[in-house]
Amino acid sequence: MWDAFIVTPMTNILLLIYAFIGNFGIAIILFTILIRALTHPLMASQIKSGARMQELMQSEEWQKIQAKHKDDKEKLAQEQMRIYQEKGINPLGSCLPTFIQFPIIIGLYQSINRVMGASPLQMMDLVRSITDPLWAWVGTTFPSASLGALLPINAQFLWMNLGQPERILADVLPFGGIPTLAIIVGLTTFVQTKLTVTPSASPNDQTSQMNQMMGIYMPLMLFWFSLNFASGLAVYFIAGNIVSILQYAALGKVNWNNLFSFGPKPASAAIAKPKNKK
Amino acid sequence: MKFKRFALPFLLILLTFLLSACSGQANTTNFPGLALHGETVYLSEGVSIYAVNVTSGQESRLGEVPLRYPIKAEANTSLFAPTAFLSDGQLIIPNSHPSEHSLFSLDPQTGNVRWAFQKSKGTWVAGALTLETDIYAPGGDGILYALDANGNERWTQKLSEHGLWAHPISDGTLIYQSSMDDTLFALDPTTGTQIWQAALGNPLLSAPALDETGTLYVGTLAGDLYAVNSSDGSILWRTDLEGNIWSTPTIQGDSLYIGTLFNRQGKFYAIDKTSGQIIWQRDEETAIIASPLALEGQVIYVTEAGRVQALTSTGSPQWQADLKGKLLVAPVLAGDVFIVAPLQGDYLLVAFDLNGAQKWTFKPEN
Repeated sequence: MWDAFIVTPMTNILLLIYAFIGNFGIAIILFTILIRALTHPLMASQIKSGARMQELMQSEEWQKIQAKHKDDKEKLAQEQMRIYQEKGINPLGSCLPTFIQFPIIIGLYQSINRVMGASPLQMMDLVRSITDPLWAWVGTTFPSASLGALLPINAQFLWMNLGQPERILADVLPFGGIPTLAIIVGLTTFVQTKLTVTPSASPNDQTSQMNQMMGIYMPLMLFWFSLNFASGLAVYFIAGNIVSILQYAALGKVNWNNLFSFGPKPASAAIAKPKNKK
Repeated sequence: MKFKRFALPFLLILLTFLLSACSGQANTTNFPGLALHGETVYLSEGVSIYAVNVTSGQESRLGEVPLRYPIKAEANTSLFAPTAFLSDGQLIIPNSHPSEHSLFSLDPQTGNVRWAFQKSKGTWVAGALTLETDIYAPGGDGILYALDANGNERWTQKLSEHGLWAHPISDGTLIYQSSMDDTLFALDPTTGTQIWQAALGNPLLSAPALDETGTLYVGTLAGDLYAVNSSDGSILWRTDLEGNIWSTPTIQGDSLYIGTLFNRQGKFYAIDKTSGQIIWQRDEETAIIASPLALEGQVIYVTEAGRVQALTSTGSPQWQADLKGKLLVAPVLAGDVFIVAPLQGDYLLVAFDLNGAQKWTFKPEN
């Protein structure tokens, strides 16, 4: 099911882009942009819902009921629901789009991984995706997307072999070279996390602390990932980070001041003010 | 509170590991490698290489400890490609880890690594060819490396931009190497000089088979089976089969036997080796990835679904056995038994006699 509905179609779309472009690195970037563009409405809805929730949680009315019913959780929940209804806010409004996007992002990752077919076992999955009866028309309609024309994938992109972890000066330096791409992944992830993190109402609350931890863990985790795995995935991480920043910027939700601040900030200080808004 | 603060990042890390496990990239998984040397079959199954006696099915021992490399799992080590053997007893083992590309020599008497060759920049997929004390190792970076018995480079020859996924073969005079770049090469084993090359139009994932007349038989990923003259690289015939060819054809008498991956299904063919005409064919429910085992009057193949199927040489079913796991690597004949290596099965090795009776199974002790 998962393979038939998510990974195989995505793999074939990625291969089709590669067949026309002829460069796998650019195909990964374009494919990432395409998928992010298609899921942009969901992301926009998630950001807007999140912002409305944030606004609500800072309101006087919300703070009052928190204080008033702090010992009666049932009553507090009832009051919260009443406010949601009055304000027309769906409390799951920011979660639902995330849940819908999540399998798409995983599928995107898996399809890129599959196309790189680094071993015979992975190549079997790739060949099956290309020769899948539902997608075989792609190869017959576009000869450049046929199995014979596509494989093996040309994994060379700039100075990298996208099927291998990337290092520069590996022949010269004794410690195995400099992982430039992994460093760029770490930096772009750090910048993306800093610019797009949703500010919390209180600098010491759980959300704020979690955001802080994410800002540290995510860049380190993706750096480690890029250090050890095929550099094609690192290209995808970088493209995804940049596209994500652009998506937030298009919605006026990027907070450039947050980039150089290293501590929890209250929401009032951290929320970016959209331009031309009174 | 502290627990919750750390919970999400840790969940995220956990998810990352799960994702990488799903994708297979984090720990490159591949077909197991199987190689016979004397009375011992060597199984490369990823984490370790096991040495198993073909008669008893017991793991060979080095004093008190099993003859196994490494004894405990090591980081940056993926052992899938089949072991090769030098005449002085060394085992030649490629490390197929995506970020660690060493080819090393192991002394089976001591279990120690004697040397490691680390110049390749690609993931090793295939095993090496050894001729006496010479080593010919096909790199994942597309370079064929010729080494001596001490791991010193004799010559290198860049044959592919995409990698060499098949082991070289030799007739004693030349070396023949399939490449992912659609080409079959003949090289001088002393100098590495290219003697001829044959462009076959599609990637070659497997080594050619060579018969006594000097004809090479090799299949492409697109399903074309070729007969090539080994003296000059001229194409003698080409037959298009349904599906994709992953393995080396097996020669028996005047016939070639080969299976294919036909999307989810498989096809098995008997082909006249002189003309390339299909003699008979048989459908299978799942793919046939590995080379078959052909004997006098009998041919045995294995399928992705774990079936071991024996046929007569005319294609009539003789017997079959179904194992748990995927059978993706060619059965190895060892005396009066043959051994298969299921991937993700209950056992790492299973031995059958030629009548289909199971003789032993192997699962390592801890």
